[in-house]
Amino acid sequence: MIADGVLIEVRDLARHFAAGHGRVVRAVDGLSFDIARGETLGLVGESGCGKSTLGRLIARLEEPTRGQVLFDGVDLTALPPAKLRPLRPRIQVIFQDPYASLNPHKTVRQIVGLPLRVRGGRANGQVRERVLELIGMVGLDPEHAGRFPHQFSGGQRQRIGIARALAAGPELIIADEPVASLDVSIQAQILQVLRELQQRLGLTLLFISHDLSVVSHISHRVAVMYLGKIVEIGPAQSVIQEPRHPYTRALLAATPRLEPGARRSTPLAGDVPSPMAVPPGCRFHTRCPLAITEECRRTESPLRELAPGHRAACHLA
Amino acid sequence: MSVDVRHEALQTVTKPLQVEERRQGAPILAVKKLRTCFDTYRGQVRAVDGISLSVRPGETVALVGESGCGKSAAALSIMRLVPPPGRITGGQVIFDGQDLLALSRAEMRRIRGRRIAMVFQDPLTALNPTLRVGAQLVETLATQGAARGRAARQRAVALLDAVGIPAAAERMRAYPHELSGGMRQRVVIAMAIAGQPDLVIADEPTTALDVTLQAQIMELLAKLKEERGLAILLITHDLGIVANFADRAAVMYAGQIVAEGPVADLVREPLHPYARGLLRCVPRLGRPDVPIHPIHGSVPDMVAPPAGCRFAPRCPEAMPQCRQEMPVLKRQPPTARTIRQNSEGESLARGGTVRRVRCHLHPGEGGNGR
Repeated sequence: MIADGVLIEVRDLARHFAAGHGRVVRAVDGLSFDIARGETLGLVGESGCGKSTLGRLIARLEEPTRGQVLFDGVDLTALPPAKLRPLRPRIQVIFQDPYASLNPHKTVRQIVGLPLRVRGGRANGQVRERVLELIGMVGLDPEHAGRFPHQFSGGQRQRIGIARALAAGPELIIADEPVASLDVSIQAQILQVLRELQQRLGLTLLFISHDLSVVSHISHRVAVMYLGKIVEIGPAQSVIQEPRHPYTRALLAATPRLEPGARRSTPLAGDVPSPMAVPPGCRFHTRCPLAITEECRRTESPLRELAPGHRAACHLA
Repeated sequence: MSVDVRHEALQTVTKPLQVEERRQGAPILAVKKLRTCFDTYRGQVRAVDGISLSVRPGETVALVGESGCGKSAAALSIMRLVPPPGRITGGQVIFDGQDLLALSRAEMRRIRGRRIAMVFQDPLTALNPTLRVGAQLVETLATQGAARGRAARQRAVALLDAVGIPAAAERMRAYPHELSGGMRQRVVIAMAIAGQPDLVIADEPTTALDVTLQAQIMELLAKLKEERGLAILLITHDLGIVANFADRAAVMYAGQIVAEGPVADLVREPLHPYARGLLRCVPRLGRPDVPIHPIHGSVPDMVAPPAGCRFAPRCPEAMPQCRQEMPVLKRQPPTARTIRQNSEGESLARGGTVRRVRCHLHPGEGGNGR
């Protein structure tokens, strides 16, 4: 279960990209939230909402335009590279495409062993032993440690990615769409591995996905992103059962359910506006099915607490 | 654009037909014991290994399975578009009374696009990036002999309008890259229905799209099916989409159909252990009390598929017989649940009542193996 204390504090974090001709893509546009130690926070949203950029900002694979990321009380955004380096092993990332993120010329033994060698403090024999242990932990056959990534299936490659992340000895794992490219049977295997490891090792997990069903399954809390902002955040059950923001409700309605003939009422009309032209006021008002007020067009609602630990950014909620 | 106007636009591109009459009638597509194999250096891969299925007008039949199960190869075989080294080695594809496999190439070209259309997963590769979408639609109409010149342009606008593209007349001048993913897929669907086909084969039509767009596109296909009596063969790996949008479903595993029947039966009472396993893999939204159970192992190497039932090595219920003898697809007797359901008339309205399963646990009703 969730241990005490906050591991990650995100404060007014923003990342804007210059898009030429003076245009600016506001990928992440000023958001704040915490992740508790040992907690799984699910981050859900449609393509282009900024969820991957947010993940990269927290891992500091991306420099923020403004704002702070506090990891265990240390502001990562203020650290020079030399001070950042010793913190790196404590934050690891698992990517969507395990094949693209694994070196095709290295064996599994080498791939999983590299973070151990970088950390140092282990003799060669100990590294080899630990590699086999990690490979076993993620459900791969230790006998296959000498194989190359192309000799594995997609699900097995993702297991290699997980083993490599664990090798660094992380406290926080950022998993960016780790199951999006996998078949449903393999997706279930990977979710189970992640959940077991998270519980067993007391890891903190930021789980990024476009799929609400997957997110709600693995997360303690869920954050919903729209156009660079968090529009709703709260305990997973509360967000799924009693969504407060109309966008969350629309996402839920659009998610197919395993009920024959259970057709949604009206799917959300139109497309997500461009992050280069974020609507003024509430950024969802151009697609909002609720009766829009003058306030919705003018001002952006802050995240307001509407139930214990459950906040939504909607004037009408 | 109001709903009425759009509906009117749709009527102009719709064949007059009695949808309800056709839905009850004979299948527009009947695939019989179709086999397609790929010759590789390692040996022969029987990607499609004797599948049979049928689709009626006004019906959506889903072909479900994991990657590599042969569902896309089956779709390409029906269209006779299997790329080499793949080749169709047996069976029949009866479309509107004629066997497509017996047609000449020229005859087959007249079927494709006009009578059977395809919608692929990635709309960007299905569209020409250097041509405006209007020009592509007009060309499609001209090639199919449906309309030329000004008439074709008017039809193209009506088609874009029918698939829910706002300001259709202006969008005629847009290039594919100027449209969003959802809009592109609408254009692809407009091109697919331009020739007024009887059957649309949609291969993972929404896999590349976000859920809100996915819902819009699936609603559009459902509307075309209902209003035009279109028959849809939906290839997908997404059981949620199957449950929400298909009438019947066939589950494929290792080149074979292992279960087939009304969607309600598949979702509420899956008989085949693989179908049951797939359903138990899917996280249920808002049901943390329902755990997910992965299927262990992975799909077999199709150069050397396992003896007996191909799912046996992964099946939690496998018996010694399963590893020796290949089960056949057999019609299943009604269960207590299907009898109750049929008395309420639900099954008859959606997907019929016949279900077939390929499993030794369900010996079925004698020799109706297909």
